[in-house]
Amino acid sequence: MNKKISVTDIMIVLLSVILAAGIPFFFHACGAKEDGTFMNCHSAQQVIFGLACVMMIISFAHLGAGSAKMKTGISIALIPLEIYTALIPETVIKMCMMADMRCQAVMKPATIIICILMLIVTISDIVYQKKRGNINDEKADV
Amino acid sequence: MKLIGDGISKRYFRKTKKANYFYAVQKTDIEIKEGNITVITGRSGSGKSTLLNMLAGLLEPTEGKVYFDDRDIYSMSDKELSILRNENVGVIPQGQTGLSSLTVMENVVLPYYMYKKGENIEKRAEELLETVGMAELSNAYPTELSGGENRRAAIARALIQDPGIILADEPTGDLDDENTRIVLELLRKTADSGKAVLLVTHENEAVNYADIVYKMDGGVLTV
Amino acid sequence: MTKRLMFKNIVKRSGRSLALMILSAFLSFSVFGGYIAITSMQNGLNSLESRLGADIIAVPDKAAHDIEAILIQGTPGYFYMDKSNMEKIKQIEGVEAVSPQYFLASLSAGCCSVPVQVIGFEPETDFSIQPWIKESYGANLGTDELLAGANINTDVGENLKFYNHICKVVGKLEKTGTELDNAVYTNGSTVKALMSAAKETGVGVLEKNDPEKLISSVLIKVKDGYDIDSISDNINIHIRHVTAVRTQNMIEGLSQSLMGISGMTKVLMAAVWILSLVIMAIAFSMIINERKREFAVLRVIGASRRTLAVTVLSEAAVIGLAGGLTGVIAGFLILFPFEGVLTDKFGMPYLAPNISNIISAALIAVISSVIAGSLTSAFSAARISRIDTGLILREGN
Repeated sequence: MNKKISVTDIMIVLLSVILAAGIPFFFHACGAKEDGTFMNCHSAQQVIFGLACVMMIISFAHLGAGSAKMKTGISIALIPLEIYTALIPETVIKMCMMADMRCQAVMKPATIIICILMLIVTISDIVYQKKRGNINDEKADV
Repeated sequence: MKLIGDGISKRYFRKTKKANYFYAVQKTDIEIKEGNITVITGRSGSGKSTLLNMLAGLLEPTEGKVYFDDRDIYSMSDKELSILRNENVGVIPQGQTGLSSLTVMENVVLPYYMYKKGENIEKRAEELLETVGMAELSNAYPTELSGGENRRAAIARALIQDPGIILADEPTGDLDDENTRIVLELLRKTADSGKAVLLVTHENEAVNYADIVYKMDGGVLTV
Repeated sequence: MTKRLMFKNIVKRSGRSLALMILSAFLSFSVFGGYIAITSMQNGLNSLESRLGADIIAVPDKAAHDIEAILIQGTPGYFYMDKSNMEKIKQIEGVEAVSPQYFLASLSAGCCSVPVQVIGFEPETDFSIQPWIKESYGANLGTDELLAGANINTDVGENLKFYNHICKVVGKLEKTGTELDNAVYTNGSTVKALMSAAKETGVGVLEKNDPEKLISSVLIKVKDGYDIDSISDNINIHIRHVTAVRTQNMIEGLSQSLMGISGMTKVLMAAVWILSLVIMAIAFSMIINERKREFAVLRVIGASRRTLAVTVLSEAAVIGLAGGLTGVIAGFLILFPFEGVLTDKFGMPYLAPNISNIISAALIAVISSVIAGSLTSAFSAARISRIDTGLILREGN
C-alpha cells in the first residue's frame, strides 16, 4: 500500500516534461517577422517555457519526495503555477491577431490543455496523498 | 441431507486404442451420508475426481442419476443446479483456487453474494477464517499465501453458505504434515457438526479420520 | 458481488485492461474524430456557399486567381478595375442585381505584422455580406467603422490602424469557418478613405488612379430562369478586361477535395476498426484461456453458465465504455482546440457542427466502442459458458 511512486507522480512529471520540451520544439509560437524582430507571442512562449521548466523541476522533486505530507505540499505549490501558466497566452500576454496564426492555433490550446490536465492530476494527487497519509498514520498507531 | 450416486458412470471417447471409448468411472452406486466422512482413496487417474465432479453436479454422468435429497440434479436447469450447488454443496477443488483479483475475505464471501445481497455475511466469514486459522490474512491476496493457507481459505469458502454437503478433492495434496493435520481435523469437525463430507485423496493419512472408506482403481469403486 | 468482482478484475489486471482500453479509445476516437472532421468540412463548405451569396463574381482580367486566393485560400490581395464596368454588366440581360466590392490588403495592423484583408461593400446594393452581418450586428456601419471576422483577435471598441488611418471595431461577425473570417469589413466610403491613405503610402496600383473611380469586383445575381453559364459567357465576351467567375466553380474544387478527404477518412476508419477488432478478439480469447481456471472455480461455487458469459461480456463492455469515453475526451481535446491546425492542414473551410450534433456523435462513438467490446468478447463468452469444469481444475495443477 505504501508505494513511494504513484500514477499521479508519473503523470505530473510526464505532463511537465511534455510542456517544457514541447513549447520550444512542437508547440512554439509564430516565427520571426520578415525584418527579424519577434511578435508578442514570442515573449509569451519564453515565459511559458520558463514556467514549464520550473514546474518540471518541482515535479521531479515531487517524484523524489518520500512522505505523503511532503508530496502534498509540493502539489499545492504547483497549483498556482499551473493556473498562471494557463493564463499566459492571451490573458497575461496578448497574442497575435489572427486565429489561424501559430501562436493562436497551436501554442495557446496546447499550453492551456496541458496545464488543465496537470491541474486535474495535481488535485487528484493531493486527494490520493491524503488517503495514503491516513493509512500510514493508522499503521503508525498499531 | 444426503447425496446419492445411482448407477453412475462416465465414458470418454478416444480414437487411438482398439476400443473407441473407455470408462473413467464404471457403473457405481455411492451414498454420502450426513455426519460422516466418506473417503475415496486411489491413485491419480483412477477416476475418483471424475466421480466427485459428477456428484457435485459439474459433470453429467453417461449413465445413472445423482440424487440430492431425492431430487435428480441433472434433470434441473443449469440455473437451478447452479443455485443448488451454491447453497447446498461446498466444493473444495484441487489445487490453488482463490480468485487472484480478490482478497481472502472477498473470496470467502463470494459464494454468498453470488445470488444474494445485503446482510452482513462478513462476520460469519471472519469466524470461519478464525476457525481455519486465517483471521490475520483476510486482507491478503491468494498469490501472497502458501499452499496450505490457500487450501484453508478454500475450506472457509466452501463452508460460508453452511452447505449440507462438502466435497473435497485432494484437500491435502502437496501440503506438509502440519497443514495436512489441520485440514483433516477441520473436515472431521465439519462432519461431526452434521454435514456429509466426501474426501477424495491418494494419501492414506485421511483414512484415519474417515467413517467410510472406499478404494478406487481403474474406474471401479470397492469397499 | 459479481459487479465488484468485475471491477476488481479490471483494476487488478490494470496493464491488460489499459491496453484494451486504449484500443477501444482508438475506435471511438476514429468514429468521433472522423465524423466531426468531415461534418465540419461539409458545414464549412455550405457556409462558404451561402456566404459567397452571388452567382457570378466579375473581376478584372488576370485577377481570376486572386479572387479565389482571397475568398478560398485566404491570401490577402487587391486588384482594381474601372467602376464603369459595373454599369455595363448591369445592362446584360438576365442580370438581376449587381453590387461592387473593394479589396484592400493592409501591410500591418496594430501590434502584429500580418496582412489583413479589408473588404468594402456598398450598403445600398449589397446582397451578400449584409445578410451575414445582420446575424451579429444590427446597426449600419458608419464612417471609419469596421466589423471584424471571427478569426481576428480583437475586441469590439478597439482601434485598428490601416495605412495610418484609424478605424474602430464596432462588431465581430459570426464564424463562418471560411477564409472570410480572416477579413475586416467596411462600407464603401471607409474603404475608399483607406484606399486614399494607401495611395499616399505608395501602393503601386493606386498611384495613377482615383480611388473614387475604382472597384475590385462585381457580385452578380442572375434572374430566375436565366442560365448562369451563358450570362457569365456573355460578360466574358462583351465586356473587355473583365473576367466572370462562377462561384459554383470555385466551390466545386473544394467539394471534390472534400470527397477525397472523406473517402480517405472512411478507409482509415475501416482500417482502424478492422485492426482493433481483430486484436481485441484475439486478446479476449487469450485472456479467457488464461482465466479458464478462475471461471471453473466460479462454476464450482455456484455460478451458472449464463453468469460466466455475462461476467466476460460485462468486463469487456466496461472496458469498451472506459475506452470509448477516453477516445471521445481525447477527441474533444484535440479536435476543437486545434481546429486552426486542422483547417490549415486540410485547406478546407471548417465549421464545427452544432452542440447537439457533437453530443450525438460522442454518444454514437462511445456506444460503438461498447458494442465492439461486447462483440469481440462474445465468442469467448460463449466458449467460457461451455467450460468443462472438472477437466480444467485437474489440468490446472
